[in-house]
Amino acid sequence: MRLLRELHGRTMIAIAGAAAVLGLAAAVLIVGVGLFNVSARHGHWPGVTWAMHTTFESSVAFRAPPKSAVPDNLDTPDMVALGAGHYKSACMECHGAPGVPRSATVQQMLPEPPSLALVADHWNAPEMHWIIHNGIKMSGMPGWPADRKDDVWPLVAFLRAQKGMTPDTWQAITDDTEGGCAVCHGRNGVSENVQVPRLDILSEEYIAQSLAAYRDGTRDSGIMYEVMSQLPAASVERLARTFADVSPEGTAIEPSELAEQGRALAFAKGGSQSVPACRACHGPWPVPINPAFPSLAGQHAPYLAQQLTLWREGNRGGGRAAELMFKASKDLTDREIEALAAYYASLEPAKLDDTAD
Amino acid sequence: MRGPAVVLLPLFVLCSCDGPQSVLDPAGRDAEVLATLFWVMLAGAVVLWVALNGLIHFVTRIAPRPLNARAAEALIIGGGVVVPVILLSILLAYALNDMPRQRDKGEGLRVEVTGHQFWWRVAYWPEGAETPIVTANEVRLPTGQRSEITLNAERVIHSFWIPALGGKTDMIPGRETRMSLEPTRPGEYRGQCTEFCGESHAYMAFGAVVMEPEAFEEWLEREAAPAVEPATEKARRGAALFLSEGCGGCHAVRGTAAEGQVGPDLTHLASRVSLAAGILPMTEDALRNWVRDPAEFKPGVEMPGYDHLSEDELSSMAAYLGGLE
Repeated sequence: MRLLRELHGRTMIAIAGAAAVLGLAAAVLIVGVGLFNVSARHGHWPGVTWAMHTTFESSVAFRAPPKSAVPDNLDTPDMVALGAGHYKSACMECHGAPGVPRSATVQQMLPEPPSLALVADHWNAPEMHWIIHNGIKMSGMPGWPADRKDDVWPLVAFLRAQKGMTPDTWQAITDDTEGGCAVCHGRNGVSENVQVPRLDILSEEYIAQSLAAYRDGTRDSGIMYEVMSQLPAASVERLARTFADVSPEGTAIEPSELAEQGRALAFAKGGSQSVPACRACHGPWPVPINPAFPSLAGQHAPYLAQQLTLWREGNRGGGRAAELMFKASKDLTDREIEALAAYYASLEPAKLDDTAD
Repeated sequence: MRGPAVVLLPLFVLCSCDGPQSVLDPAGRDAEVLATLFWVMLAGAVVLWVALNGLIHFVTRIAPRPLNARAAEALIIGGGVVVPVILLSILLAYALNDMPRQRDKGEGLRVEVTGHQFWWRVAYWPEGAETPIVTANEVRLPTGQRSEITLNAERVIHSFWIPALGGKTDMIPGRETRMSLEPTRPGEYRGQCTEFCGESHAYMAFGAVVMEPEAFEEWLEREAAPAVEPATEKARRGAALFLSEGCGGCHAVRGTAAEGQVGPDLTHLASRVSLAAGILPMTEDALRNWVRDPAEFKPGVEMPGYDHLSEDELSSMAAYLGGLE
């Protein structure tokens, strides 16, 4: 019996050793010599596509954010338009667009990028958000080029809205005859999309500093980082000058009760001992202000609220004085953010030093 | 070696008994009571200590013999219960007797102090005033009257203490506490936060200045006035920077557009005895360094650093602030 047990043990060791040698040999043949065929022309072995795709779907379903993370304004036309603008510059190449087919080459990718038309039915909003932000390993789908997650939602909005979208509509919302910036920021930077900042109220210094911050990643935004990665550094100054030269037009809106509360905060009249008076840097202010600070007069409320939230959470970068805004915003409540956004949006659009009252 | 050490050590310890922040160097009625209380308690403790050691010496060295049961019982009950109870009761009655005086009502001036991380908002309400005279990081009180002190805290618990003038009282967010102080001797003293309130708790101090009543009235009148205009070209540049760089979002300089309520009122900053709540001298050098990087002196400070300004700009700013008398 003992002999048998010993023999048995030795046999086991021998089998394990042989398996290890065979495995090593296979690894050398595949990795080193190149026996495995990586050609995309011939597809996968039977079953591999199923295994990989199922793994992918399960992984996305497992990791997607909860439904509660979906913003209330997801399906608004402005979110769709912003998403469409970014889609056109970053995604259309592989996924096509209404009236824009995928190229023959793209269709040879393995796996083949799904045609846009199929996406919205297959995934829900949180799943699309997860896929766009994370990308998919070994599929050619890249991750989002920023840590920030909130600026992925416009793209999700577009993906939901494009189902059945006519080529004409697509052309209309992504029209770039006025230049690439105009797709989202409107003609001369006077954005009519409330998700996108209007640039006509800003100074040359501020725009240049913001573009530089987007370019080097100090200011985190997947959308603007993509844009800046395609622009030569020299164009920053020219763009800043172009938009700064525009004289803002427009009228003040009758302030709501909420906007009045915002005004009190901005003027340090609200009794708050934790929120600095916004107007000392952003106007209205009776004497000249450092032009590196942005004017907010007439800026779109949803954009302001989003940016204030980013500052408060500490995800927002900017120029050299960014620390000022981190400190200033860290105690803002949601209500105060809404009130401040409503107040500044209600002002007559104006450059910083023209806001004096 | 041992001889000098024995003599020097108590002297060294005693060194800390006077100075601007000492309970044992009182400059106010309440601090006098507390100092007396300390000495009486100390005397009581010395009596107890000598008696106990004497007893130990007696039973171990002088008469080391077993006691009979009755004598032992009498000694334990007498020395262990009766004598301490009598002595401690006397000291307790004496100490409790002084407590109500520590909470006497003020008679005229009321000073409202609010603890922030890590500085003090100070508002003076002279009798009959409808709006306060607001300043920061310095408490001035007149001699010869009992001033009412009301205490608040903005976010976390602090504690208000000027050892040379009286006892301490906690400052609690959402709940007003009070005390009163009756200074007797003019001079410059020092107060300190005495409840841990965050990273820079130890750097949360303030100047406490006691003045003759007439001098105090004059000072308060000056304090109520708006800020002086900058006197030099450099200071004017500093003033313009102060208003263009957003300082007015947090700080008030009365008489200018700066009306911020988040940080200390700077209207008469340069007339204070110290900068940054008792931790820096009031000099242009210190002002420049503070504005450039406050966190270097006070970790966790709410004020952002202005290191994006040039040295020249910082100097101008310091000249302006240093002229706000």
